[in-house]
Formats: sequence, structure tokens, C-alpha cells
Amino acid sequence: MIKRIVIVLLFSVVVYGVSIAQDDLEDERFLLTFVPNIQFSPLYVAIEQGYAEDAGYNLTIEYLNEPDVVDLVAAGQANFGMVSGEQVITAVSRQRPIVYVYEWFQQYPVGVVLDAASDITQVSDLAGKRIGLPGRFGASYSGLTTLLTANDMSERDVELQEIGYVAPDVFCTGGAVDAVVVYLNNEPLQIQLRADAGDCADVESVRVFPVAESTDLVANGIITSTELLERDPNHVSAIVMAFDHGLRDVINNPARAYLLSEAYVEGLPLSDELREALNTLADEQDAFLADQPTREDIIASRSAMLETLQSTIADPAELIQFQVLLASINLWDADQLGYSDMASWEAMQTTLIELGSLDDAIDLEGIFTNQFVDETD
Amino acid sequence: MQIAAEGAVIEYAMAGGGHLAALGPVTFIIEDGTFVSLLGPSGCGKSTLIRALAGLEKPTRGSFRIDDRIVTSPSTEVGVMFQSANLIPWRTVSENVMLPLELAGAPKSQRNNASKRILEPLGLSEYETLYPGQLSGGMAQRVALGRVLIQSPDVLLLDEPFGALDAMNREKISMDLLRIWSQQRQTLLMVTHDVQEAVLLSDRVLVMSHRPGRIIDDVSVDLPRPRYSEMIYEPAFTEVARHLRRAIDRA
Amino acid sequence: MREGENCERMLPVGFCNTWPLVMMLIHMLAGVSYATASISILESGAFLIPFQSAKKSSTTMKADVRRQRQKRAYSPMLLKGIRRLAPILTVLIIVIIWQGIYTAEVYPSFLIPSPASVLETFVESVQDGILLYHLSITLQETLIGLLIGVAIGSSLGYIIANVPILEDLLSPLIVAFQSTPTIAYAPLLILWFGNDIQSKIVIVVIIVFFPTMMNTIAGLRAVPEGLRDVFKVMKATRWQLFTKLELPAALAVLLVGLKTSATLAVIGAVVGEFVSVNEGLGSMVAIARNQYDTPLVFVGVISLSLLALSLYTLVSFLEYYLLRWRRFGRT
Repeated sequence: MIKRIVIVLLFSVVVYGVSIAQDDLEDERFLLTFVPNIQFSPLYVAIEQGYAEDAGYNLTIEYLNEPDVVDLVAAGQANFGMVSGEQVITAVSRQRPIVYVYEWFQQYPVGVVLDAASDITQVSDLAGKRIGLPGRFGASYSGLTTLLTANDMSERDVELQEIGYVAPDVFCTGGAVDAVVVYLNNEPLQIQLRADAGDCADVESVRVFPVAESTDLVANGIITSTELLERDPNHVSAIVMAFDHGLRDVINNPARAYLLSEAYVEGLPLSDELREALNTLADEQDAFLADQPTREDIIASRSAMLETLQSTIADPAELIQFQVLLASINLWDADQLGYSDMASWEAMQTTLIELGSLDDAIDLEGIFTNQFVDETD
Repeated sequence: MQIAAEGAVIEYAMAGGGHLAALGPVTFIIEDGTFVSLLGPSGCGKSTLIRALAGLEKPTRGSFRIDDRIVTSPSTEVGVMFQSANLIPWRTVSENVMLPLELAGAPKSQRNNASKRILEPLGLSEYETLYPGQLSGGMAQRVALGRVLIQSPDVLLLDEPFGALDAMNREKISMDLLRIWSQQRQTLLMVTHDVQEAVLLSDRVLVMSHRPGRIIDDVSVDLPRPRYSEMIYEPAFTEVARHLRRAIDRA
Repeated sequence: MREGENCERMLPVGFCNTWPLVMMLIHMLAGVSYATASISILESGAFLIPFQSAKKSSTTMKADVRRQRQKRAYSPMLLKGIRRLAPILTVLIIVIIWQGIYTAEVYPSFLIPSPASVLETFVESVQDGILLYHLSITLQETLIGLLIGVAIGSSLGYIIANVPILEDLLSPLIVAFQSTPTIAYAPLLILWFGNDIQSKIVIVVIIVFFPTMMNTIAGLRAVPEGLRDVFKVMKATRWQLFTKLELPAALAVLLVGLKTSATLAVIGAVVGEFVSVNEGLGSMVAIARNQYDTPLVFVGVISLSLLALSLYTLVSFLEYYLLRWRRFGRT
């Protein structure tokens, strides 16, 4: 028995030694929320393309609830995570020592979706209508409140219905709600897919009111602890830049990003046909990028990519996750990636105070920094 | 009332097919108001016979009769006592004793009176609010006896009612039974494996063979009544007892 | 009443009326220490003991009763006093350790707040009515769910105990349903039964129903054949057999199971409230967590344990009263 233990111990020492010898990379945890998803492809790409390793880090991803991400980072159990801006404000107001260092989502990802054929053509038409949302909490509630406020309305002017996380189901059942609050990069696509299949009551196409069109609210981004930021800003910078590299890759070549995300997202639709088409598109895109195209050209190339795929892939469900990726890119893409401005933080704080989840305004100065964003330019 | 068996046989179907003969054929008549004991080796079908007379088992062939009624189901004219007291643990002594009247739908006041009347001669008046868990084996059997007597049955079927008791308790309770029976004179059939007890209490003793049990001896006990414990030392008693002992040993 | 008689020997006059109350209190507090243990199985076995105790033999019956009384008269009051205080002591020790962890700053205060701040939040949440509102919602879900679950579980248990073929037919389904974690199908139930209180009640019903059913079956099967014979020879009707024998017999096992079910019911309601955050203590905790209000999370969690404990105690009271016969003659 003792002999066996000794052997096991020796074996593990050897394995450990080999693993150290293989890479002198520092282990680093990056905390995401929800579940593995194509929307997290920038991080997958940063790992798959070796950007994290080049910076000296062996990056592993974990998926947790937003408050857990915040508290683990705040407590120094993990160094990096992605959460929404409102969580950052709330958490800092409750003494969590965290800093927001990179705005991943440049646009607030929430909006209101409704039947394009309905008589609601602008936000103010929502007055008196029934609006479904998961509940009176979280980003969808903050987003809706902001949208209503920006259009001189409040919660009292509409009829809110708490429906849980099943917006497409409730909306497509028909008759229950006039509009639903959704995450823009996913649910409108799901609803449209059903509408195209004739499975969404009598809805044929949908109209979307993004919150971001009314107000610039700070959205999801990368956080770290104030302690790490003060002690080792280079460490923060290295991770942020690796991520930034990944994000740029995704924006420039979503076909490649989609393929690289396969190992991370279980059940990602990827038939042989789609894989072949994406491979071709990814190679073509690389060639196209070599010519230093403008941002506008790249935006156009992404649309072209989807059109090509739609003409070759028969089943629309096969393409839905790729469309989710493109819709996400629209929320990420900006002239200056990662940058968040004070106005968007203030707007978010105003909303939080209005919702009652924040008692008093806090000092927003120390809550975020753009110091690593400037370095990337 | 008269108890009778006419060529009664009880067989059980066995799991692997075939039959297990448990009893019979037995034929006997027990006259009204007599105290009859049933002796026999264990497993000979005595309990089966009692259960059949109580209407809990049906004969495969032949029949059991109580007066003119062929026994097919239980009857309130027949009181049955088993080897274990089978008291209901969540009912007090008096609530247990009252059960037959309660099932018959008698009003509460009548039940209470009857319970007091029954418990007194059994020496249980003091214990009527106790739960069965608090009783000794002897007391529990007394309660069980009270529960049988409260419905004033004309026939008493007792299946080794005192078998689990120690000698002293056993003697006391059997003398109590004898006293009550001599006042009320039910037709009484009691299974026992104690020869002395059988002789001391009975007018007549039936002896059963090994399974499937048949009546192999039928002995009248011509001792005078009232009986008393010391009778066991009298020659007439010893003679009957010896006869029965031999009959059992032959069985 | 025999208990009263004993009482007069042991306690000064005037205390005797309160004796059952004191016994209840002792039982309740003792219940605190049992609460975490899985009692159901242990006690359902013990339930059979009184059926057998009548068989024990003893020399004379009076001596037997006297011994019973003496055993009770000598029961050490000091020990009972200590037992009564023990749970309070446990709570005290936990609070001291908690304060120690806080003071030593083992974890940042946003992860483990001070007992004082939690108490303060507790008082605040009581004052502004938040706590009682959410508590009342969870209580409603739990109680209604318990009621329906017990009703369905015991009826189905009764039917299955009497129609064995049904057990063969239903058991794979029931076991599969039962062994699936609630959290896995809770989102589906929310989808089918809505975001409101109904879906949480359904979850509670599903959680409660199974142990109730199993306990009912066990209770009915534990009725000794001898007792059934007694009822049969007395020409009891089917209904009498049910109400006067089977029901009370099953009740003993059922109540023991109900203690566990009551705490499970709270868990079920909270799972539902976590999955569809709306109202109720579970939602309060989820929202507080989302707002980084750790003291309020603590208040919610502590309230939930108190709720579960109160239900457990309530059932213990019920058991103490309905099964008072079991306290006699148990060795």
C-alpha cells in the first residue's frame, strides 16, 4: 500500500515537473457569465491564436453568475472577469474593490422587440402597451427604464409583465404581450427565425428599439481588482491587450472566429458543409484584410459573408449562431475599442438611482480607467 | 350455540404448484355451553382450524358450522382471541376494549358503561387510560379478552391465548377466564399446548395429529365444577392428563 | 391523565398545567439538534416497536406499572435543562466564531459581513416590511404545496398499497421523476405554470409528493396482519378498517416523513424563486446578491432556515400530540 502511494507521489512529482518545464506560463483565470457561447469568441480567439500565451499567461475560462464574478475578482481569487457596467457601479457602491478596464460591448446590448406590422413605430408608441421582461432586475430592466426615461415615459406608462427568460416563447405565443425586452444579439434573431418558419403567431418580421439609440449606457466590459491594478499594471495591460487582439480578430474575420470557437462552445452548429464554407470565407477574408481595408469596408465584408453563407446553406437554423456572432460584433465594433466615457457611466448611474438599486450617486472617477485602451492605439 | 366441523379440509396452493394440506379432514360437534380444549403438536393446523371457524379462512372441502349457519365470514356472535394480544397501540386500554361496540355503531355512553363493566372483573379498572405500550403481556391479554367479551359473544374461539405468558400469569388469567365462562357459559373452543391447562379448564379435550391435523382422540373430563388450581394433584386429574399426554406423544 | 399524576409527584403544585407545554418546548428545542439528521428512516422503524411490546412478559402487572412510573419520576431534570439550552448554546457558538472570522478579516467584509450589520439589516428589513412580505410569499408557496403534495401523495400511496400492480406500473416513472434534481426541471415548470406563485407551488408539490407517498405505503404495509384480523373478526367495514386502523397506523410514519417533507418544501419553493426571480425569500436573496447586499443575503438565508425550522417544529408538535401513545413503553 505504502509502496503504491510512493509510486503515485513520485509519478505526480514527475508530471508536475514536466508540466512546469513545458511552459513557464502563469496560470490566469478569466471569469465569464452565463454558459459557453459564441458571444464570448474574442476570448476563445485570444487563447486559440496564442495571444494570451505570447503575453505569458495560460488563460482558463470559467462561467459564473455576475455577482460571483465580481466578488471573486474583488476578493483576489481571480484577476479578471467580464460583467455589465451596472454591476460594477452597484458592486463598487457596496465596497467591492474593482475597476473596469475595457469596455467590451460598446453598445448596451438590450432593446425592445415587437411585431413590425404593429402600430408601434416609435418608442413613444409603447405607452399603454404590454411589455414582457424577465423580471424587475438586471440589464433588461435597467435598459427598458433608460429607454422609457429617454422618451419622457416611465414604468407607469406601460404595462410590465414578468415572464422569466423565455421572451421568444411568450412573444411567439401571441396575444400575451405587445413587445418584449431582449438581448439584441440573440433573441431578435431567434424570433425572426421562428417568424420565417411561420411559428410566431402572425408575426412576419420584427422591429427593434435598441436602448443604445436613445442613450449611451456603459455596457459589459472587463474588470480587475484595484489591488492588482496598483500593484502590477503591466499584468493587467498584458491580458487586456491579448483580449483586444482577439476581439479585433473576431471583428475582422468572424468566419475564422466561428471556427476557432468550436472547441469552446458545445453544440455550435457546424456541419461539414458549413465548415467548408466558413474555411473558404475565412481564407478569402484574410487575403482581403491584407489590403488594409477601412472599417466601413470590413463592415460591408461581414454582410457579404452572411449573404454568401445564406446562399449556400439551406437550413437557416444552421446559421443562427453565426448571425448571433455578427449581431454581437455590431455591439462591439467601434472606432476606438475598449474605450468607455464618463457620460455613459453617469447615464447608467442615473438609471440605477431611478430604479432604487442605488441609494446615492458614487464617485465614478475611480471606477473605470481607459489607460490600457490608449496603449493599444 | 353449537360448533361443528363436517369433513373439513384446508389446503393451500403452493408457489411451485401443488397443494399443502394444512388441516383435516376433521369432523366434530361441540355442544352448546361446553368448554373444549384442542391439544396437538405445533404446526398441526390448530390455528388454521380456529381461523376457519372465525370465518378468516375457507375450507377447501367440507364445512364448518355454528348452529345452523355455515361459516363463510366472521360474525359478531363469535369472539376470537389470538396468541398475541393485537391491541391497537394508539388506543388506551378502554378505547381498545370498546372497539367492537364502536365498530357496531353503539353510542358513546353505552360504550363507556360497557367498558367499565368489562374491565372491573378483569382487574383492569385502574389501567383504563394506559396505552398498550405500557402494559405487561398478561395485562395486554386481559385487555384482549375484555375486547372479546364486550360484544357478548355466544361462541369464544381462543387460539393459545396465554401461550406467551409465564406460568404464574398464565394460571391467574386462566382461572379468571374460567370464572367468567362459568357465569356466562359460552360455547368455548381453546387451543393450547398445555395438557394441565386443558384438563383443568375443559369439559372435553380434542387431540389433533401432526399436519394435516385430524382429531385422533376425544376425551371427556369428568371432574366436578367449580374447578380450582389444586385439582391438578387429584388422581382423577392425573389420570386424564396422563391419557392425553400419551395421545399427544402418539400424534 | 397519567401524566398529570406523575407531574404532581415531581413538581410543585401549579406547574402541572404547564407540564405538557414544557414537554413540547423540550421536544421543540431537541428538534433543533435533530433537524439536520435524516430521521425519517430511523423513526419509521421505531414505529413498529409498540406493536410488539405487548408480548413482553413480567411477573406481576402492578409491579410493571410501578416500574414505568418510577422510570419517569427519576428522569433527570438537570439533563433536560441542559438539553433545552443546548441549541441556544450552539447558535451562540456559531455567532462567536462568525464574529471571530469577521474580526480576524479572514475574508473581506463584503463576503462575510459582521453579525452586527446583519442584525441591523434584519431590523431594517422587518421595519420596511420587505422581509415579512417575501416571507409570506414563500410561506404560502410552501404550505399550499405541502397540503396538495401530502393530499396527492397519501391518496396515491393508499391506492398503490392496495393495488400492487399499480406500483409496478408507476414506480419507474415515479423514481425517475424523484431522482431528477428539481433544479433541472424547474425552468420547465416555470415555463408551463408561469412566473408566479403557482409554478413554485407545483415544484413543492412534486418534491413533497414522493416521500409522502412512500411513507404512506410503508405505513400501510407496516400494519400488522394480526390487527387486520382483529378488525375482520369484528366485522369491520372497509371504511372502518381505513379510518380506524390504516389511517392512524399510516399517520405515524406519515408524520415522521412530513417533518422531512416540510423542510424539503421550503427548498422546493426557494429553487423556484431562484429560477424565476420574482417574489419570495429565494428571490429576495437572489436580488440582494445581484445588488451586492451581502448582509441582506445573510438575512434571507437565516430567515429561510428559521422558516424551515419552524415548519419542522410545527410538525414535531403535531407528532408529539397525535402520536403521544408512542412515548409510552418505548425502551
